Amino acid sequence: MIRQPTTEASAFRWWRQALAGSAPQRHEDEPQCGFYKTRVVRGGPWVGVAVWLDQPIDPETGELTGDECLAAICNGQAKRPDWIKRNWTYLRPITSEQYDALIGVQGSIAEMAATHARLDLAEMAPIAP
Amino acid sequence: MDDQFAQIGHNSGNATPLPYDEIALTSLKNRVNLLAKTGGDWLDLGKIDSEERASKAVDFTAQVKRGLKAIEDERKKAKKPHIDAGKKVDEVYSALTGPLDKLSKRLGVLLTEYQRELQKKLDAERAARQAEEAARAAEARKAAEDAARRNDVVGEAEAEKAAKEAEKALKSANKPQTARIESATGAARTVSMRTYHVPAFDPELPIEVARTKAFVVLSKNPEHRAKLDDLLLTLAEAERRAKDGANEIAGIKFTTDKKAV
Repeated sequence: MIRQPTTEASAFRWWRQALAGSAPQRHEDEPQCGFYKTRVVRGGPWVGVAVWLDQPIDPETGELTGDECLAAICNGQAKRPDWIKRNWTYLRPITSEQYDALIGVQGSIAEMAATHARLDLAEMAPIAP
Repeated sequence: MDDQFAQIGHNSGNATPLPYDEIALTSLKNRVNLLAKTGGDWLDLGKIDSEERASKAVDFTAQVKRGLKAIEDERKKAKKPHIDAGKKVDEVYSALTGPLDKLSKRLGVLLTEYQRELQKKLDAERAARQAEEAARAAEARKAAEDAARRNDVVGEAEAEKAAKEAEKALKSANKPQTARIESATGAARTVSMRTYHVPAFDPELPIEVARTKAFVVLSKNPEHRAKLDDLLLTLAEAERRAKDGANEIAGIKFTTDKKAV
């Protein structure tokens, strides 16, 4: 049986709808591809999460050679599908530009590296432009 | 060896100095007690029945008023250093808050400007999406009608499904999106636009007409009406007392009362 890979449009549909403000339904056990942000602890800094579909494709036929599965990277660390499922409801959709900006901010604000600590702006060095 | 024994009051803590002159206060208290006692005798009379008592009552009233003034003067004297200290504290701290207040307002201007541009961008994107989805919906509806005319039931069902999807997308595109700027770190609250309503009299109406219209409308609200009534009566009294003020005001009736002062 020929197995065609899921199209990019289909994989990212939920995320695009969420960003367009159509508030698509979020089902607990159905994580979706896209760019997100979340916090590791309450009051902690944002961390970026990118979720995509890992598709083993035969380069010659363009068909799937194995099962598609979700993959993610959270704060620079690769995450397994069970982590994605567990954290899916805590992920807030953001645009890819916002995701890039978040990664940039993490590089310029040292306190954001401590993802498991609450951030206190009053105690932090002034945030430069 | 005496210092091994505790002195009386050694553990009562540091007594905070009183914020007023206790001797002056005691003296005033004594004066108040005296005046109150004599005042009681005056009130027990129930009525002033002779010229002599009336003239004495004038002096006793003056004594009460002077007593009041003495207390008030002492109160002000006692409070002055605290007010001065409070002012000094305000002065020192407002020197710190002033620049930050200004900075916060100027940053607010920059953020508002950015947010307005963002809102324009979102509105433009929404308008484009609306047009696109409306065209898609119209096209799908037309395709469904064409399929129905051709008796192509499969094509008709597909086109109807596409039309429904396009209409759903159009509905979502019709929803306005509000521009929000979120905190970079996550530690600050999200900035969103707040709508302010600044009232001014309608410049297209003569000011008297605008004022009267606003008055009539606001008077219909019982809460505003009570406030407007109080304000009008206060203004009427001020007008009547003013040297060149009107003696009669339409809608207001003055009752004259006289009291000994």
